[in-house]
Amino acid sequence: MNDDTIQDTELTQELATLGVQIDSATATLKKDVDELSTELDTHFAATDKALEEFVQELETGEEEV
Amino acid sequence: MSEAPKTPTVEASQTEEKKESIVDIGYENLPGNFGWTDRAMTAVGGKWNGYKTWGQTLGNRILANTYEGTVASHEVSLHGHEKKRDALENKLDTISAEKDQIIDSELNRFRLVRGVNKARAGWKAWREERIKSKIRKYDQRIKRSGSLLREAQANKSVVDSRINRTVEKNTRRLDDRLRTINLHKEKSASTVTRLESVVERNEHMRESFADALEKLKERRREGRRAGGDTTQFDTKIEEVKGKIRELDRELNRGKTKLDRAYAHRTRLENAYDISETIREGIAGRYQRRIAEVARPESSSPSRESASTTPDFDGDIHASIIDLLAPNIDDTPFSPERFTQLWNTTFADAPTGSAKFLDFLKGQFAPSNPNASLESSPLYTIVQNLSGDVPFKKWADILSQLYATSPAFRSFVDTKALHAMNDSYGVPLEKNATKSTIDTLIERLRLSAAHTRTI
Repeated sequence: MNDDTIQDTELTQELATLGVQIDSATATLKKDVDELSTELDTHFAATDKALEEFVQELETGEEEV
Repeated sequence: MSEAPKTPTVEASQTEEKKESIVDIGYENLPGNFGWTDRAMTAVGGKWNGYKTWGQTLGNRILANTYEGTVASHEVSLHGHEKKRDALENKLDTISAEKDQIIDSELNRFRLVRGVNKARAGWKAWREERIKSKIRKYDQRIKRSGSLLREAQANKSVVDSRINRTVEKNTRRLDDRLRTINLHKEKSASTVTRLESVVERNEHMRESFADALEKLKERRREGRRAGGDTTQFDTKIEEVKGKIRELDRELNRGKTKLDRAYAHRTRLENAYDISETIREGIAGRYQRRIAEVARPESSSPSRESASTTPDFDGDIHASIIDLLAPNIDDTPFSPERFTQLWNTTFADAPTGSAKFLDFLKGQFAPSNPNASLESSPLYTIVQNLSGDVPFKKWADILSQLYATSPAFRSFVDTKALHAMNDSYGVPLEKNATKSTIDTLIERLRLSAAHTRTI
């Protein structure tokens, strides 16, 4: 039983450590994804606008004089 | 005189199609896969309407080239008239000298008084007057050609500057847009790379977490096999599994964002492709037209195949047919259209129709190895025609011939123009034949272009 107890303690600790590692990784990942998503959203908005203007340019062009 | 068959040469629907393409000369003549461009435009969130104005530019380029042909044509005419006039001047000098000799020499004066040389001198004087009259006529032609040349040059200059102005503006504006797009593309590219690296790193971590968890689960199984109570581990393992799911959610969020970034990049690339298609389309078209005019005679494409191909050559043929063929919907053939064609190709040649007819007869004479219409009623029609054929009749005959005979098509497209050129009185110089014919083709095209714009 003693052996079992030691093993139980080790396993509990290892599971706890793994949980902490995962939490930490998730938190970092979440932070990174949030940050980069915001950055990308800004680019998307800007390029959408640029594309819209590009399309508008194609659709209208400069009238012949 | 036999009547030309009344069989329509073109289906009504084809005529409609032709009318549509005449209205919008621009975009449908642009080379390239427009189905693809349509899709690409949809992909970037727009509709492919831009071709209308961009096509206008193309239309103007074609028009400018046509004017260029007209300028060349008038130059050829002017040069021809001037050469003829010079020849007549020389002739006049000779005749005048001969006349003077008859009158001036003492012996001849004696004979003149006696009436011996009166007739000879009179005849020389008559020829002198006749040549002078011809010279006056050529002076008028020179004046008219000069005026037409100046007019064509002015037209060309107007269209050229219009094209340059418009293309420059459009290109500059499009370039500005593309530069902005490119800037955003580069900026977002670095963000995308960073996100890709974050996702990749976390995917590896997730794998290692999953491996670690698997090992711990194995130890739990060992504990169970040893008869131990693993309930508390089960709870802990479920907690860790929940954490991994949380990590997965964040990973998926990153991947979804990446997918959107990739789709966005495709749209940007499409914008580039569209822009390139337009540029290449217009430039390529223009280059092709120039190459077409400059093409050596030996490398001319088969006119027959060209007449069935919806390319630019086809347009020339369509223009000719359009001008020559009577309307299919039974509305009277427009004499104005044919007069216009006639005047631009046979101007100043009152006997042009007779000469052209002679040429036609010669072309289809039995001795001619190219005579492919001998067995056709059209052959008889041509044989029985007089030089006073009215425009309407000419239109009927020529359109029938054009529609039924590949030989005649080829003939119209090359030799007939040569013949018209002869009738027109423009001396054909060696090595200049092709370009002279080309300028006449340009005339036809111009007539067609005018008819179209009207």
